[in-house]
Amino acid sequence: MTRVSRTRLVLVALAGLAVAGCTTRPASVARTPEQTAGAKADADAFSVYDLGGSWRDQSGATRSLASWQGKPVLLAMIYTHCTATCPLAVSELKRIATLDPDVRFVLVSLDPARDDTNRLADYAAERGLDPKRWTLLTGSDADVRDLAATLGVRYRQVTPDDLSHTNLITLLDQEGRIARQSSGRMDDAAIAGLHAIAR
Amino acid sequence: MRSLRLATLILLAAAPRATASARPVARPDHAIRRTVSRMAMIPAGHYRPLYAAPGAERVAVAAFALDRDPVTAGEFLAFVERRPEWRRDRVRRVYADARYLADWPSATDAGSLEARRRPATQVSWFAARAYCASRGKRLPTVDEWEYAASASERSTHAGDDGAFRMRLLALYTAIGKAVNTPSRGFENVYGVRALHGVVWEWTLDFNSVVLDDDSRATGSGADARDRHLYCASAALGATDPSDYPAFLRHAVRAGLGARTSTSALGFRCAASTVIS
Repeated sequence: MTRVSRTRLVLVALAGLAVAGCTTRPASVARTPEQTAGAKADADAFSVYDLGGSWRDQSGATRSLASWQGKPVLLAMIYTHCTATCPLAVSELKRIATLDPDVRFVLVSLDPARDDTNRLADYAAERGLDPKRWTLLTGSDADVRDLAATLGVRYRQVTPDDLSHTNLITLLDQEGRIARQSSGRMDDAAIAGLHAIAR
Repeated sequence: MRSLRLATLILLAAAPRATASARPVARPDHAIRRTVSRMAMIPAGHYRPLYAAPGAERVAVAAFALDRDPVTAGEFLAFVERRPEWRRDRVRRVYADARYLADWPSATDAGSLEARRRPATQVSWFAARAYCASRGKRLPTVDEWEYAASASERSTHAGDDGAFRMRLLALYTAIGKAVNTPSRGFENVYGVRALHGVVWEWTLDFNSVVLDDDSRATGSGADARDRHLYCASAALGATDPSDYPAFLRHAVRAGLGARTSTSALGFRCAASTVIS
């Protein structure tokens, strides 16, 4: 056995230990509606609306996340200078908007330094996002990081112009609990789940 | 004059929190100065992150102060007594999962004297951050933690040394075992103890780990399967595919959520010493 392959074996064993040390399911794992139904009952249920934080929307108004209480919300974290996956996520949300007349949409900027309220308003206008259903939010770095960490959105500045980030769409139920998460595209089952929650 | 300036810097550095429960408590200047004086001072320098964009393989780290030891269960108990909203039976579920402090005999009892001397574990990211804020400090960033942790007893940059790496891997096998005490692990050249081999530690931006594919074969973090999930993911590649300890730490961070509380995960606090 070479030295290198022995080292890899050690590493594999260590990785196993590392995993054994953190058996808690990370927040980023997508939940099925069945799992969510169970989670609501157990002691580990939580509401994203319990996060503090103060946000500004594309009209410049101050908003708290809890203001969406009582309505299902689809939430994505994006940044307006993103040219790769964020436009896809927004297109996907617009597709869902045509399928479900009730759900509200919240886009939260991962790049608050560049995404001020004016920029968000321009972005919403460019993409035809109806302010009655679509809210674009910007906040402090700390509030952005809190929300991202809670939702399981991972991000980092790669270059001065580009962020690398996970492209998660999160469905929050009326109480702000994570009902469903998916990467990039919501499948039909998720949208069916959305209808179920909206009823 | 100097001490006043230092205290101001520390206060500024500790300010970036916004949730009501995690807001730093105003403390007298002399107390803050005393706190920092017990910390290790880490001078400014450079380090090479595991994943870097082309042209950014060396990251500058500003000077900062770092706790010499992980926060102990006894210290965390004192915090919980001062800030009862962080008791395990009162904490908001959005801030900590159901395993938060679950190893304590009760919500206000951290166990035996020996248990209270061990590093605090089963503490979520939100709780760790609130603890640091209550001391006028903050969690270290990944860059700061990795920079400080690449030092051995004699060298500030031992991360490239093969023998040092093997030693870290051996230390990591014991993480999470009950026998661990803060005295296990070594004191590095900065005077920081037990960065390796006692508990994994929280960092402020743990969720900046974007790639969860740590492919060693190519040294490239992104494969085609994941590419649609990330913006700009192809821009990142591992700077040193043979740095196994760094991959391991990276993998641990990639598995964490902000509410995660596990028996193998603790923390220590940092403080800025210069305005960036």
